Amino acid sequence: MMHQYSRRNFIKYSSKNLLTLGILSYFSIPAGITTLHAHKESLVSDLKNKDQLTILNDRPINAETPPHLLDDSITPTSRHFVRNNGLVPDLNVADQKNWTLKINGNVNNPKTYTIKELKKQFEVVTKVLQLECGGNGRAFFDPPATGNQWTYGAISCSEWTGVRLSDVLSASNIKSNSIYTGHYSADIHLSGDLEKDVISRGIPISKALDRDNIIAFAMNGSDLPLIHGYPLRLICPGWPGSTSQKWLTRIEILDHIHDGMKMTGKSYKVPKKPIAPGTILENKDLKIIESMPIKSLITYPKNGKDNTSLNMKVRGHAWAGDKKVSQVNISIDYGATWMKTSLAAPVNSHAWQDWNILIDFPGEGYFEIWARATDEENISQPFSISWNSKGYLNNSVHRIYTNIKI
Amino acid sequence: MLKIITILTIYLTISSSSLHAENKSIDSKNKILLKEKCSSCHSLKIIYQQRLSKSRWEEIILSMHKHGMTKLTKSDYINIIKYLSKHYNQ
Repeated sequence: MMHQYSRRNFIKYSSKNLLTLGILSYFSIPAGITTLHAHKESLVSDLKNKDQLTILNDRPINAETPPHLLDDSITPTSRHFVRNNGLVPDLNVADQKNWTLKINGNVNNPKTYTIKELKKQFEVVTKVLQLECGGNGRAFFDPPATGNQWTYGAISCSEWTGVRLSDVLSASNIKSNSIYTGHYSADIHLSGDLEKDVISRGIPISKALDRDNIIAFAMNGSDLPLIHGYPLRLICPGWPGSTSQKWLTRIEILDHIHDGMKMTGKSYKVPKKPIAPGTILENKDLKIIESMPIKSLITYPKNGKDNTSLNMKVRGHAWAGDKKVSQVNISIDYGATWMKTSLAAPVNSHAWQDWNILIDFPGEGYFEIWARATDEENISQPFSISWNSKGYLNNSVHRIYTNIKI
Repeated sequence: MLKIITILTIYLTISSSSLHAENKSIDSKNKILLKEKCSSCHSLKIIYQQRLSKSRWEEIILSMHKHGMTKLTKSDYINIIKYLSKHYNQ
């Protein structure tokens, strides 16, 4: 585990990121995007609007945002990471007018709504909500974990507009023995097999009734882009992004834990008991990830930026799944001493919290700046990774470096 | 004596370079095989991101069968695993 914090490795990762960023800012659309259906033009224009994201994969499309581009309090659409398990559906299918959402299963009152009916029958709300991929930070696992090698940038906090999931579920009168939801969508399995679900995740009813979950039709004041789930998606803030089903068509209420695609295997699960790095467990020894853990990100300055003064403004965001962040501390001496930052309240529950600090450096030299957040239950970010084979929940402290040269 | 050494050196050089060429061609054949079997569903970019042991690559290829990959012949399986664990090992 110490391996992760060797300076050589740290610099290796930093320079790799910078290189990738450089290349991608030149080629803002990844070459060779191929899709099964005739929606290429719209998809490419969605990606063209992505500002300097690092493309990890192009089929399915997965891209993350470098930390310094996540500086805004509300993540602009152009800088929102992209996570797909399958292929984006055809725009002819993803039609706002004819789109319907079904609520069925263990309910007394199954329903089918058009988007217009959702807007008319339920209160429309707008909330700023954090959304993080369960595998954010996977790239730093040792031994390496499988999957897209997300570094820091599979996190966002955009403004979502829609109706409350809890209101919609209440209107269907859920039976009292219900314990879980199952989410279904219109994306297409990579094999092209239309019978197969790409991904179908769910959440416990207790989480589903939280008033911050949104069935969203707009993002940052505009219709959802196709790549983010147009025309309808779920946002279940604070839980792994995979629970926030894009291209949402149906929510089934269940009297058992959902057994949909990527619920029953090893995906989005972590060991029940602590394990030695490298240990591969059987499914029965894994548990489903629920709330994401406490984490923070330094979004200014950009990693590696030189500073010509002994003072430096440092800022970023912190979030804690379903919980609130109580403090964020900064160290410039490898964790020997810490300084408390000024931390803002979230604009609404489940929004990330901005923090900032003015650092006085003792003199010239190479410094690492570490950020460490603590949640309201006094749980702080760890310095090392609690290893699991799929590379989930790396919430270890974020580090950047700077050279102070006056 | 010098003549023998020269002939031997030439012989060894030729045979080792042809062995090298053969290895290289097996490697590029395996690469083509990988592309053919994997990229019909997903981009090879996801493979290039991984650094895994041979046993974990075996696990992954077997799990791909569940995701709809056509079952590999035994020799294709061996060759793909050979290629992956040579180039994308941890």
